[in-house]
Amino acid sequence: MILINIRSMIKKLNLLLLTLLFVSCVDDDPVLEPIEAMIVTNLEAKTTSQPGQPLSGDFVKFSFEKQTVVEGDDWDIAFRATTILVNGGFAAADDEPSRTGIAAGYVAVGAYGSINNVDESLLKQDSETAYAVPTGSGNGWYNYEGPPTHLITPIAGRTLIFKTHNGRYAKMEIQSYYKDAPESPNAFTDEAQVYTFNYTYQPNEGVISFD
Amino acid sequence: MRSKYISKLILLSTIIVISNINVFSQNEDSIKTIEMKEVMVSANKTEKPFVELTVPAKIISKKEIENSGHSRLDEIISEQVGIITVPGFGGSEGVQLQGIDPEYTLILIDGLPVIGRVAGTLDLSRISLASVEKIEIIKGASSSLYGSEALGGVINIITRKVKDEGFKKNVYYQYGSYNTQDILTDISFRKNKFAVFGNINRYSSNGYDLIEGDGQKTVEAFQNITGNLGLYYNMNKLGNLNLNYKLFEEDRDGTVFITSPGIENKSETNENNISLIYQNKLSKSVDLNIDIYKTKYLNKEQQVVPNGIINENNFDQSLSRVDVRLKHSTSSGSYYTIGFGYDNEKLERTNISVKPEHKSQFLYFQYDWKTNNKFNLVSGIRYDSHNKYSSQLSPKVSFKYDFSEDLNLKGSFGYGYKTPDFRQLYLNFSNSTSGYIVLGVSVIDEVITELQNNNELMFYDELFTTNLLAENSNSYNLGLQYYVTPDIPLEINLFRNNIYNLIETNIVGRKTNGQTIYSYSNVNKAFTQGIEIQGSWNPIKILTLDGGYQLLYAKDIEAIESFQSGTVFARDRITKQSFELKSNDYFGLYSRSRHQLNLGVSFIINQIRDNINLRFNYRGKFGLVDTNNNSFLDRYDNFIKGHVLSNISFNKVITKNISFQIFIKNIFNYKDEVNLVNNPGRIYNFKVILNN
Repeated sequence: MILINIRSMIKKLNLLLLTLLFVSCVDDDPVLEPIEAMIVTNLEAKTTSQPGQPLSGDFVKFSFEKQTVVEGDDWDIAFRATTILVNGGFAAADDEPSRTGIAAGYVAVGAYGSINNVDESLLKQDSETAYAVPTGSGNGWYNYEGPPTHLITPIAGRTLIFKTHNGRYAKMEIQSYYKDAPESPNAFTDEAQVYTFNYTYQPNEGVISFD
Repeated sequence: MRSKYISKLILLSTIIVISNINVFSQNEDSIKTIEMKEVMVSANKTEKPFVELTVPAKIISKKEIENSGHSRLDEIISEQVGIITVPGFGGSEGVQLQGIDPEYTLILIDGLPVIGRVAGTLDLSRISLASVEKIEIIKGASSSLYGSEALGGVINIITRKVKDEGFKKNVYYQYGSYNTQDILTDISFRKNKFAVFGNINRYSSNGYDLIEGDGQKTVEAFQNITGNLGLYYNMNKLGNLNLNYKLFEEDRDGTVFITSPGIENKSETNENNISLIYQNKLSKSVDLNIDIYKTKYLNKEQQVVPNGIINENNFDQSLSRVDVRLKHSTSSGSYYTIGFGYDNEKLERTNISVKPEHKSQFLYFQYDWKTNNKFNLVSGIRYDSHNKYSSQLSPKVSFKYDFSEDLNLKGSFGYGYKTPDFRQLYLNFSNSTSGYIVLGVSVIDEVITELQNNNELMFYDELFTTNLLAENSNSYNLGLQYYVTPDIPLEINLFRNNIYNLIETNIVGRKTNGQTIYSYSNVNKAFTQGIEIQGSWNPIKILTLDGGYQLLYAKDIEAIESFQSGTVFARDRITKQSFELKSNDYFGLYSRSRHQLNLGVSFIINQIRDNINLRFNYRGKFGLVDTNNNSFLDRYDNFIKGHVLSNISFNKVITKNISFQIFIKNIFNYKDEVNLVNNPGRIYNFKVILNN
């Protein structure tokens, strides 16, 4: 897994933009920490089962704040194949990690850049019957194209909004389900269950804006 | 083994015919071709002069077929205006008419339906052009005469009939690239009231491979045989009798199964049909016609290892039909046709546990009314009653109005439908390697209950209804025909097809092991509309130009609504960012080209004995799959580029019985190895023809 901090890239490339961003933050509230915009590439979330068999294997737990995979209870979301869990609510199966936080989430329709506020009324936690991020083709973040391509493609214009395990907010866009995010993935030759996504993390408690 | 026997038979009969060729060639070879007043049978189920037709139609003549150099139906059909062939599994080719998918065009041989739509599409490359007299194409829904499947239109292949007295023969041999061989022996004999005719055609090829090193060929080697045996007897006042037997057999390496090392893939197709047609003029004004028809199609796909068969897929379909019709003519030139009959269709198929049998009765009526010299109105209606679906009532009205001798207006409205096929009703298919299940609506309740009882079901969204409706369309055509001069006909036709209840596969559930469960439902509405222009021109005696153009818009109604609601986005392939699409970014349905252009040039040289034919077929850009993550085809998707395919044929008469042909297909060697798998590039063919 590789992380790229977009803000530090921007800092090097375009100091002016950063200054504007910073200034706008300062104008709102001088004590706020700056938001973090990140890209995560090749996060592996593999099942150990064969196709057609019950899914098995550990969920890969991720922390927006730590910008990495974590082992403890401070995870915000967890991945296994196409399933995404939030660290809030109840587990639907025994092999899921137990929920210890207050995380929640929903799927927003809209371009990543245009979704700048959290609609708290839409937030849902995982439960025994449904996940905050719905599973199934066309229901949540992906489409399963079926035969003959069998591709899993992240639906364009689906932004995942999360409340983290400790009550901060993040927005996230999944860009690819295949290793190295190929331009034209092939389900038969490209390694699947490997996520590339970008996210924006709002580290300030209670702030619902990503501006 | 049977085909080897038949191959020997062909060889033997060919030798006999060739050795006899000089003895029997007594007929005068007429250089002059007299343009007979062409008639069409498909539009009215009875002969009607082509120029008087009220519906958009096209005839491909025997001469055009022979001069073109083509061997199979798909090749010549794809050169027609507004027709595109679409590749399916294993080198099969379906037809797209007025932008409507291959499942929805009825294919007939001598007026009787061809069956064997294994995956919905009827493979036109199955049909040989050897011994074809002409091909009739009707555009627009025609269920008022033909019932199910005639939603986009009808293609009727008319095979050669015996006309002349005495012993006739026609033999040819064609050799081409990829070791493609096409051989025909056609013999007929007529004496007074009795005629017998038979022909046998063998077509084989080594196939070709566009992408080497992927372990499988693009089109595998195959050989097939098409045979026909017919008897004709004129019993004077008792009428005419036609008895016809046709067969098709094909062996192909490779199947729908994925190729693996050490495993041999084999595909075998057997098709047999027999028809008895009885015609009698009961009185001066009444004609009786009875068709009795039985056809059987068997396809076997096998994966074979040295110690046995490891995987098998069988498809065994049969259809029996009786169609009785009476035509009553009046003195004014008007006539009405009344017909009735029944169909019985059966299927045995791997992954279908039941052996479904469909029975239907039908009744149709058509009135061809010549109100005066200028106005011809044809109206008809057909009623189909089916043991498994709700009955269908299919009307059609069409007219032709002559403003003058040079200018006329044609218009038609027709209803077309297609009953759900056996797959959509009875399939119970489980793919263990990629993990999904497909269930037909008639078996879904049973299977779901079983899964529930075994605690194997995670969720199931119950189908709104397990009663699939027939897919149907309302089709409208309006056209002008204008003779600029008697030699320059120009035709423009506007069309619109509103298609309802399109059947789609949807996810309905999931098993506890993660397998997705698919089923079928009537969801989509779509339309196709466009303009078709065609004409021909004889500027000088030895030169003929003909051309056509089609503008096509084919769209899904739900997709249009999604785009309008602003919920459709696309992902940029480089930046991976999503952006919102606007209404006008929606391109339309897959595999449809907005523009299609055909141009033909024919030179007659050497005192009308020989000819050169050039054809240019342009197909505008089209999309095959969504490439930017929104399940729709939009302007930012990857398209297959617009391209021209050009053919040239040279026909040379050596003596009055011998001629030859050089045919180069795809002269400029246009290829797209990834997307156009049905195009192997440039192909050379050489053909020798012996006849009398």
